[in-house]
Amino acid sequence: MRPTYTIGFLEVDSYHQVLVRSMVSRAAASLSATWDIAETPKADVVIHGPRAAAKNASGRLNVRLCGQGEISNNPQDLPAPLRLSALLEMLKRAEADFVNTVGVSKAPQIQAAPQAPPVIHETAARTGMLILGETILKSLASQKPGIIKVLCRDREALWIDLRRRAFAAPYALNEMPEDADAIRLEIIAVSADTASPVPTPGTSLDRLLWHVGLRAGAGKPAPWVNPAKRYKLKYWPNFSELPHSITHMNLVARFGSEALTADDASLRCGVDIATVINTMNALTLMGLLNENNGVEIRRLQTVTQPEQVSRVGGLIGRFKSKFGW
Amino acid sequence: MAEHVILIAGPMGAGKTTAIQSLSEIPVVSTEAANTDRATANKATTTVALDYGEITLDGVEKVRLYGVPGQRRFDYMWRILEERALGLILLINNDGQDPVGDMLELIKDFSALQERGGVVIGVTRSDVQEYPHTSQYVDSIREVYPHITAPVFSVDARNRDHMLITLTALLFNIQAQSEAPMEDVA
Repeated sequence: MRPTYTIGFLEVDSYHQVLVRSMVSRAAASLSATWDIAETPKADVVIHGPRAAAKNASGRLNVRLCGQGEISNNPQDLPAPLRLSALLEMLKRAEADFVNTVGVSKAPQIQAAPQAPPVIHETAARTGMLILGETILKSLASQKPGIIKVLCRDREALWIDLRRRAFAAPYALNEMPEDADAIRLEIIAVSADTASPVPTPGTSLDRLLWHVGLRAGAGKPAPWVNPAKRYKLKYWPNFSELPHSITHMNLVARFGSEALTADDASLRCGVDIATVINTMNALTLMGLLNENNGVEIRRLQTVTQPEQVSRVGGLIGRFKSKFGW
Repeated sequence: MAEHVILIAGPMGAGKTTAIQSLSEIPVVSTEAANTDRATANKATTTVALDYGEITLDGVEKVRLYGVPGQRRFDYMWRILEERALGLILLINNDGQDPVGDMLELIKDFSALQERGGVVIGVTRSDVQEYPHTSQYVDSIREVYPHITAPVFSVDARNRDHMLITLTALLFNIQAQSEAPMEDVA
C-alpha cells in the first residue's frame, strides 16, 4: 500500500510554498509515497525558511531552505534557487528513512497533521496610545460620537471630531508621547449645534487611527483584537495618505483575499507575529478588519495558479530590489 | 526577456498619460490628437490610440505600461490588450460627471481582470473636487461586487510615489487572490 506523508512549512515565504507544491505535484510519479501539503508547520517533513529558528523543529525530518546567494555545506539544506532535483532527492531520502523507522505496512495513511496548539498571545500594556484607541472606539460606538481633546505634556491640544471623522494636530503625530502618564483625554459632549474645534476640512481620522493602532499594543494584541479569531478585510486603507511599509501592503492584500488568524497571516506572509498584530490592531481600530463571524469557510479546492503566483511573486521581489523597499 | 503588461484605463481626462509619464523610465510614446470633445474633458489633446511606457527590472525584465484610450468607441482595443495583461490600474477623475458610475462601468468592462484581483482604482483630481470621497467608491464596489476587495486610493497621477503605491498594491492583490483557497459561504 502506498503510504502518505505530509510536508509543512515554517517561516517559508508564499512563493516558495507554492513552488514546492508545484514541484511535488510534478514529481509525484517518481516518488513511492503520496506527499500532501499540510496546513500547519507540524508534518512529516518540515521545510524551514532561511531565518526560521532551529529550536522550532517539529517534523520527523527538518530541512532548511537556503537564502538567496547562501552557500551551505550542510547536506540537509535545500540549496537556493530551489531545484526539482534537490527536492526530489530529499523526499526520496525521507521515504527511505520513514520506511526504516516504521515499516511500510505501518506507515501512516493520510495523516492530517496534528493541529498546532493554540498560541497564547499576551495582552498589551495600557499605554497612552491604547487608552486613546479604546476611547475613540467607545465614542464611535456610542449613539452620539463626540469630540475628544487630547492633552500631551507641554503641547497644545490635539482635537478629534468624531462626527466629521477628522482631527487637527498642532504637531507631527510621531511627536506624540506613547506612555499613559503623558496623555490626558477629555471627552466633550456635543449637541447638534456644537461648533467643531477642528478647522475644515481637517485631517482624516483614518490617519490618526492608523498611527495609534500601529503603536497601541507594541506587538501585543489590543483589547479590540482577538488574534486567535479569523479576520477578513472589508476594504483597503487609502495607502496614498498613510505612512506604510511594503509589509503592511502584503498583509492587507492577504486579509483581503481570505479570513486569517494572526498566526495564519504571519505564516502566509513570512512576517513576524508582532508586525502582524500591530497591523491588525490598526486595521481593526479603523474598522477595516472584521471578525469573520457566522461565515463558514470550506476549503473546497485550492485555486492556486502556481505560474501566476511565481510570476507575480518574482515580480514583487524584483520591484523590492529596484526601489529598495 | 520576461514581459508583464499593465494597462492603465479610465475616462478621458483622468490622467492616464500623466500616470505613465510618472512611472515610465523611457520617454512615453503617445498618440495624441486634437480633442474634439471639449465637453467631456476640457483639454487640447487626447490619446487616440495608445500611450506606452516601460519599467525595466534587473536589466532584462520589462513591465510594459499601456494607456488605453478613454473613449468607448475604442473598446475593441481594450479586449485585445486585456488578454495579455497582468493587471489594470483604473484611473477615475473625481471631477467627472459621474465618476462612481464610470468606475463601475469600467470594472464591468474589465471583468476578467477584476475576477482575479487584477484591478486597482486610483481616484485623481480629488484636490479639485472633494466629493465623492474615496469611501463612496469603496461602498459602491462592495454593493455591486461584494466578493472583491479592490484597492481604492486617492492619487495624483503626477506623483511617482502615488503611482508606485498603486502598482505595488495591484501586484500584491493579484498574488494574494491567486493563492487564496476558494471560499464557499454557507
